[in-house]
Amino acid sequence: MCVVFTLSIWFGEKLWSLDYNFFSDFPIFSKSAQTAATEKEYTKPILGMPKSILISSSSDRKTVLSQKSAGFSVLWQNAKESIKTFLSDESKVPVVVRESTWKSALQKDYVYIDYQAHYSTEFLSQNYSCDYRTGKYVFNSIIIKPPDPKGDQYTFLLHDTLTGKIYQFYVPSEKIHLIPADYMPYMENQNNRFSFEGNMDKPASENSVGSSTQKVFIDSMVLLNLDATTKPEIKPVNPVATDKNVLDEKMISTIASLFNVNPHTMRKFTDEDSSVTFVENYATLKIHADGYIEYKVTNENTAPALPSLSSSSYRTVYAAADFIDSVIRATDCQNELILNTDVVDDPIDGNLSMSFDYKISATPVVLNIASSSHSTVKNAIELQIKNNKLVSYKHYLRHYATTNVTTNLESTFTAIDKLLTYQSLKTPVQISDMHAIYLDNSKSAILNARWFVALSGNKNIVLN
Amino acid sequence: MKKTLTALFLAVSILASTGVVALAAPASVSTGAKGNTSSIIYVKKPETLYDVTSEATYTVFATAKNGTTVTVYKKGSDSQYHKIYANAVTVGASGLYSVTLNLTNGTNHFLLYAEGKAIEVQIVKVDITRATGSYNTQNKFAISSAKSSTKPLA
Repeated sequence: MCVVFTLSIWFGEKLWSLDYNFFSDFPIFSKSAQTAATEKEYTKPILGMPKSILISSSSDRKTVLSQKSAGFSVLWQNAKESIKTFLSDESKVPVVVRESTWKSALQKDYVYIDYQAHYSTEFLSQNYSCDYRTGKYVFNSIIIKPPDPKGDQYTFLLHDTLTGKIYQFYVPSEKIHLIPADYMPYMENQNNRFSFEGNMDKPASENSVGSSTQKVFIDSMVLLNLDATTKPEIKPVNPVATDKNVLDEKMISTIASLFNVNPHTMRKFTDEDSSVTFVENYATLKIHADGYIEYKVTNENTAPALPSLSSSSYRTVYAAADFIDSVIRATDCQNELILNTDVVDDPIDGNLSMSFDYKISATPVVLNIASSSHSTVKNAIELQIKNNKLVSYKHYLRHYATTNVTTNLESTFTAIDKLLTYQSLKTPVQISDMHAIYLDNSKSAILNARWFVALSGNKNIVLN
Repeated sequence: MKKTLTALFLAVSILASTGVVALAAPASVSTGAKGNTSSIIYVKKPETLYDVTSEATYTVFATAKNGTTVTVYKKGSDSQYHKIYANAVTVGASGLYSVTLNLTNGTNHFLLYAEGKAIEVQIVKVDITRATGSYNTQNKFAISSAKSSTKPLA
């Protein structure tokens, strides 16, 4: 009987403390030892990875490539090397240019990198592991133009949000190789134009012939899809629950362990809706049956600090990215993430707030998850770090599987027609942003791409 | 007979009010053709109704009254403008319109034939020159046989 009890104590996980695992002395059983080498490579690209790259060649082909597009990795590798050369080049001189120069650069051969979030040159230098030999600029997109036939310099242009100015730099061409024509095999003939290319961003000029009252103005950098396109349908999958809303115990334990919460604690409560709440002395972790994780520290003094690279700049940022990565790996939510938060300064005080959205092939997933058991979810991930301690973490766990079915997405102008037909808007209407999204409100088993329209005055509309 | 005529009149009236019988754009338009209005379509690009490009296509942008149907023609060797797309496009509530045109080398003469809901027709001629030049540093084309005037055709 004693032997049975002893074995029961040894192997009955309920009596183990979270950090006690005698198998961990053996590297073969240590998960961290197995994955440590690859984790850093996986998480860092979330930061500093563009949302999409628009590539345009002189043969009138213009294509938007996203992470899952064929050719993206090759293009991004070369574009990243070009940006690294730009960041570390000592000879470059910033020249303030007008907006017309920015717009002129977006003609014929160019590569336009859209990050969505704003990054500082300092952070990107750190992130791309290159020397930081430039002034501090903050931007969310950059244009790279190859030399013209008689030139020998690449042109880089960026909108600096710190000063509100547009800067142009020249970098010698022998240091860079980024020729749009090289990517022709990956380029489709997408009929896209920036709004300014069609003068849709402004009233008639003095040079124009005739006159007209324009009902809709579209901000200059909104990319117009002039033809209808197709987008795949996607299927949201909750990775922590079965079809009958029963939580996967093994995955729940894994998630709890990531938050340093003992999954076998006696202070574990299950609600009527199958949600599980763990209560520690310093924090509570609630895993909802719909896949929403809410972690909140109740005692910041005793909460454990996040492991981080102590000597690294932006270590809090990387610690956050590493933590997100560990959750994603544990739950197998293999979606791309878009950072919604700007990374401008190194949070040396260890305080940081970040949020991310999911995206599928450059198309963001907009969440609007209303629930009786938790507050409305608007972002895939929201986290807050104080003094290098994770004090709040919210994550709507979803894996979005792409189906084989595609649906039609009407052209930008047709979508705006629909907007004006069904919404009573005061004209002239000013559109500040417009792009395709998937809207997940947890009520649909299959999601189709739809148009998202942001109007001036912070009014957002999702078209059916 | 009276009933038949009344029925015919009513049918034509109903169709006319729904726009179904908006007079179909002709298969070809003569060089000297003019419309009867200038207020239903407005070309945003090219602003001067003339442009130069090295690209194989050119996108014309315009705004028009809701319900305007636009048919695109291109001038042929017989100096007549001929339809290049079988179907006209009806402009929606936003009034925004664009058409992407294939270009041949040299000057391409296009014509937009816009029909309003009433019996209104506006004709706009747009000339796009496809030049096989090269960019200089100001992103302007160095064209060997540049057109001297940027004025549109009448």
